[in-house]
Amino acid sequence: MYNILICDDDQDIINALKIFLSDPEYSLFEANNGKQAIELIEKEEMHLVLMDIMMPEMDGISAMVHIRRKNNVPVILITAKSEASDMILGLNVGADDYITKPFNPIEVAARVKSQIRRYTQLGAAQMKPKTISVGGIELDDNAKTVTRDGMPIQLTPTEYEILKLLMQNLGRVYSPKEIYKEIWRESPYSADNTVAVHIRHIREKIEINPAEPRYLKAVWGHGYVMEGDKQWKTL
Amino acid sequence: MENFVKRMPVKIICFLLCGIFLCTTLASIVGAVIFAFEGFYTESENQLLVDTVHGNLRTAANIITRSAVSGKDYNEEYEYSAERTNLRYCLFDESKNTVATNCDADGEWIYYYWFEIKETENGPDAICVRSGEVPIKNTDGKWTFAIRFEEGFPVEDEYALFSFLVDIGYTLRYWIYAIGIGSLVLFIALLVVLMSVSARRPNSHELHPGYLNRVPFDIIFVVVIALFGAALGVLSECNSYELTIALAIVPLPLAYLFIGTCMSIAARIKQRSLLKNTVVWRVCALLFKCLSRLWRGAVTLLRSLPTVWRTVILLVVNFMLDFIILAMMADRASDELAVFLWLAKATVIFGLGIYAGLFMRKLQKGAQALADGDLAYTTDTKGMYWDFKKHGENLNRISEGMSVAVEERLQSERMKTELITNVSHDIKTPLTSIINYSNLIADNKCDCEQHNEYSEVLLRKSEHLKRLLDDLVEISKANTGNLEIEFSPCDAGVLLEQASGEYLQRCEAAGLELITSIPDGKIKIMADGRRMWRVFDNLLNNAVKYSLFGSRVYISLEKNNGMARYTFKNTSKELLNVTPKELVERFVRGDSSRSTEGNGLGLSIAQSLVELQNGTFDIEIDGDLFKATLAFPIVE
Repeated sequence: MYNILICDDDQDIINALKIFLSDPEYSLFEANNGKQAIELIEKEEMHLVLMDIMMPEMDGISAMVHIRRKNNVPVILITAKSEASDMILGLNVGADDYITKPFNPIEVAARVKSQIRRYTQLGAAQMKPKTISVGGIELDDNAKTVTRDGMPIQLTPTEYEILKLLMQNLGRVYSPKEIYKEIWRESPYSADNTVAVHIRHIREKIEINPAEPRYLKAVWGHGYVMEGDKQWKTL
Repeated sequence: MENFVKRMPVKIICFLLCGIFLCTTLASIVGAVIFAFEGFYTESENQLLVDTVHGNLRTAANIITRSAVSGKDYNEEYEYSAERTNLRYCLFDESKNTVATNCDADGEWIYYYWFEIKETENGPDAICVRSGEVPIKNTDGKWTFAIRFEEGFPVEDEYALFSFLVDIGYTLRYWIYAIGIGSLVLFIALLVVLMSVSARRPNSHELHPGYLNRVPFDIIFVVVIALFGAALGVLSECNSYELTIALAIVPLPLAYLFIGTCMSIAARIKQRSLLKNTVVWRVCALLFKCLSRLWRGAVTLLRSLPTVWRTVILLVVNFMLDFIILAMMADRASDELAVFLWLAKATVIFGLGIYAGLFMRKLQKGAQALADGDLAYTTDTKGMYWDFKKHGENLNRISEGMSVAVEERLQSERMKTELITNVSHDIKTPLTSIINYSNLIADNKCDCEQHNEYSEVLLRKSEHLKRLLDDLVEISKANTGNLEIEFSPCDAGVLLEQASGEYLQRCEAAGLELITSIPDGKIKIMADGRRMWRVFDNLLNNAVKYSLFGSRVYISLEKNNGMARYTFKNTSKELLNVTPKELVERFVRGDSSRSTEGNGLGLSIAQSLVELQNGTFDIEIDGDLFKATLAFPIVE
């Protein structure tokens, strides 16, 4: 059983989230503001916190700071997209992920699942040699397999090679041409969007929401980059 | 002490004393000068006495000697008996025998006369040939007449009087300096006191000038000078007897006149009216006032005239001057003056012309700056006059007014954006619930077919609303410049490649063929990659939504005149019965039915973003062909 705390001042949103997250594995708690959330976390051991930023009494950011003083429970911020600066602030003070309002139920469920998995299992998992891991993504070069939060992902050999190249060089921006040369070992034809198409496919497989990638990102006008754990938080 | 001196009786006493001291000083000076001339400081008292009564002595010597020589009896002889005069004499002949005397022959003589005896028709006579204080050795042929004065001058005669006077003078000859200096010091001290208390009263710090001080100073001055002149004139006309009397009477009133004038000057200086309270000053001030009024009147008149009339007047004046100069030139006598006048006029006109040209240029610059939108520019009106100044000030006021208006507009745009952002945030929270619950309804399929259909519409419209909100915030930010653009050199080809990669699958799913054409080589543009993606995203999204099924979508990049030119072409499935302008206008869509998914903000946002990145955005519609062209300057 995993304890999940949902913190929002809108009771309807809490109820909806409760329905989306109804799972025999989860035990759900609710709070209407930051203060209640802190009290609950002190009473009960939580495995995940879903927290809205704009709340009365104590806002999500303040609550975040408070929680982080003695607890490293994963926190997912729920926020309206317009508050970009609040979001960055939240990530900087220790949030693990964010969801923008209005959110997609499936995305919420996937992010919750991913964070819980990483929090409860990843630390104990044995690191195998020749394994690269970025966030919840794990690439095992021996078995030629890729997993996200422990779930296997089916990639074509080309997609696998591209992902491996980018994961081996975290933070480095590869232009489509460079990727093409590395993978196909030859110069690309002009007007070739092959690499871009492959990247799109990889993203659809490894990202929870391909429109808002957390790992494989496009640097528009330059190329693509794989960003390491929490590296994306600085945006 | 101060108040004591300010009292009227004290003032009067001071005034009287001051005059007396002034006279004493003057008298001392005059006396000292006379003493110096008379030899009081170089000769003995006896000598002075002898000098003073020299005439009398010589007469006495002549009378006595001649009577003795001629044997004639002069009637005056008895006058020189010892009882009647203080003069004591003794006449010696050649062999130093006493011939005549009125006293003992012994004693000290103080002065001698020597006579030579000559035979004349009337018998022998004596002629004085020499006189002196010291007896001479060789007295051959000469008779000696020696004199002295009786001790204590017992007889009252002119010798006693003169001796008394000389004695007084001799005693006073050094004292006179002390008296002069002392009275001068006292006079100056009293004058200073009087000048400082003039126009003052006890226990008051204010000025109380007397009636006399109201009289213009130059009148007083003239009167005083006239009085002095009259006094001097009177003195110069006097004989010696009258002069003595006049000298005794005249100096004191003149001294008081002088002191009074000094006090009046002091009072006027204190009042700061020495110059102003004069006839000359008043006349000058009046004249100046009249002239300045006249000038101001003329200036006002000129100012109130319209510019055209002013110009006309100037031209007429110029013409009249020309006429005068021509007339003068025709006359031989004054042609040089005419040339001079003409030169002077030409210089003035030259100066005015340069002045006008200079400031016209300045005004032109200011107006040009305003026309170019530089509202911070202020025209420097320093040194400008008349219409130029007015014009410059108007220009500055225009720029101020426009600046204020622009600032206000920006402010209101910012407020609008803030409002839209805040409202959209507030809308998003309930929208979240709407989307969530319509999702839940859609998931719980029930048997009622209509129910399912309704829930699907709910879901679709709420999703549409969500997109609309995001676009609304974005467009308001883009239009008010509240969007931060992070410029960096981007590879234009890579941008298009990435965008087409993202959309290839979606195009295929929509039954469209995406044809991408990118030239070889790097084409660099300065842009914000994320914003560029947003532009391509909007354009390609529109193409996917509105293209005819089975048609092709062309996207291409080409170099053209230093510009990187992107072209997006697709064939519309609906009739495009709108102008390109209407297409990019907010909330206008290609299809007028407004029933399909999407909103009209996409193109508008794309245009704003492109323009924020210094690019151009054009839309062409040719039948069913929709064509968007984006151009950005290429950087090296």
